[in-house]
Amino acid sequence: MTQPYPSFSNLLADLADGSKTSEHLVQECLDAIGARDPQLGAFLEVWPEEALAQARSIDIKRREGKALGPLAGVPIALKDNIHLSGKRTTCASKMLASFSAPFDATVVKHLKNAGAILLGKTNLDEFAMGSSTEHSAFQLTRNPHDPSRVPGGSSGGSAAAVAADMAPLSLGSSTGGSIRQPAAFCGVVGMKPTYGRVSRYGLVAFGSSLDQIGPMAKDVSGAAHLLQAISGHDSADATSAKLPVPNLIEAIKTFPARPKIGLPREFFDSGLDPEIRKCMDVLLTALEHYGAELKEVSLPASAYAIPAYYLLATAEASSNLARFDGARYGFRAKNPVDIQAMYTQSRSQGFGMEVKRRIMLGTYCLSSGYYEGYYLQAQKVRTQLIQEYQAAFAQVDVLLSPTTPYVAFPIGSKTNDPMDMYLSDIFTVTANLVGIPAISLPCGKNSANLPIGVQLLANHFQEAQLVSMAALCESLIA
Amino acid sequence: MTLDVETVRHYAKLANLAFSDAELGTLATQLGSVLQHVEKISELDLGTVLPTAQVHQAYAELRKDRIAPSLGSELALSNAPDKESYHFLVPKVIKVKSP
Repeated sequence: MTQPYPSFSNLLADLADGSKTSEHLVQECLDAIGARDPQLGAFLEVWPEEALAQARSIDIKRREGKALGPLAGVPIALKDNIHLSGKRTTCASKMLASFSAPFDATVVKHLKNAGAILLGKTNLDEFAMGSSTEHSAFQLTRNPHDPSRVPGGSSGGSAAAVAADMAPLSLGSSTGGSIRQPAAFCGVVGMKPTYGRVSRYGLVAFGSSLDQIGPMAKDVSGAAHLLQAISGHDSADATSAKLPVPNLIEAIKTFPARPKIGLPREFFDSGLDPEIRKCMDVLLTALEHYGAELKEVSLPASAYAIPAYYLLATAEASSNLARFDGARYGFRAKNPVDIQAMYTQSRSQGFGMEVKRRIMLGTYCLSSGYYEGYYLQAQKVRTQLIQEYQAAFAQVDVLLSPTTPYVAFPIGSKTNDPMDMYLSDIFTVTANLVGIPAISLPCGKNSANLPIGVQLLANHFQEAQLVSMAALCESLIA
Repeated sequence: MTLDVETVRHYAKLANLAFSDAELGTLATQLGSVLQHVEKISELDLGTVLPTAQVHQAYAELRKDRIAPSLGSELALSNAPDKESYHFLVPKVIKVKSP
């Protein structure tokens, strides 16, 4: 895979000093999309004319010495569950195939203010429910490293777009690992911020106590710049945190001295793929030489994270997706005999099978007689996990683990067994349950030349510490 | 954990979803297999542990009650499958009593 810009900071410097124009950069992305996307299927929609016009206008402003935003002239791809006013937000579902966003998501407002150029919308698993992007109602997305394999999911389009140089940056969303897992599978950087760090206003809701929007980029610098631009309190999102945003761009310039790194025993058990284990060991040895202190920690409730996650996420999804009833927006079935038929037929014809499966599971575990045993128990497991992570962070600065238990799998190999697919989130779901920030960055490749990702996790709102640590790991891996 | 087809049909009705008989059969197997896995959480004795609904704040953050412009009826209706003037149109809800 070519990497025209080893560092996103260099790309910004080139744009700033005029050695590269934004128009040139956008044209490079469009050329890459033209050459590779017919095969890869990362984009659902691209806006070449608007992006080029916006780039030219930024170039003129720059030449005239006018003030520009921190991401001026940088093209960005958006996952198609984030609203951009006047453009379609499909969630890769027949349900929203012709839905036009009536307003900008807060993150989109931030991107516009930062001068970023919105390049297009990327494919996802329908309503972000999946780990392979195979559940899109519209198209398959293929892994740029091996087109017979999945890019991961649900932000598979956003990961593939960055990996194949079709966009230097993209936004994804994560409910249980939907940014980090595709980032690992596609060999890019993906970060889930702390719950509350980034506004979800204008993100189509899936699991409201878990969802976060986050950056995807070729390197830690790109992810840090993008997260910096989209973070901050928003009165339109009641879960948005009223806390100052740390300077992430400064944070990546300084590596932590003698960091304490926790290795969760449960994430390094004997079942781990030996090639992934080897990549982790190489990095851990380099970290020890750097002066890091490695410490084994235990997070026993991790064994219950996947069950708790699939109970909470599906319960919340069944409730969130009740709004899609064919009445006010979205797909409506033809000629229903009465209003009940309109609800049932619109939902049955508009949703794909994986979405319906999750709504069914959520409805079941919220129903009378099962609520305490399932939903409430899962919320208690969540408390237990939070306590165990807090105890770990009292001893170490960050936690380190593989991002995924295996590399990108062949297309079609897990679609018949939902439980098998769900287990691919095993190392990522806890960060969403606990609400902490986590990042995945490339950590080498296996013998088949497929990318392997390493995951770092920090305590709530410690994004600065996390990107600093990630930048250190990136430098050691390079 | 196994689910029978009638149970799946009952929950489909609650969720406003309809499935063919073949789909109901597949769902019974697949949901049963997922439930078997999630059942694992009942092993934990978490009697005194409080449930977590929201990870970083114990109270709801409310904005100031100030009047501000909202979406507007034209935009709010712009994605409606069926509409008439400033209303969403849906099939008739009220049944006419037969004479």
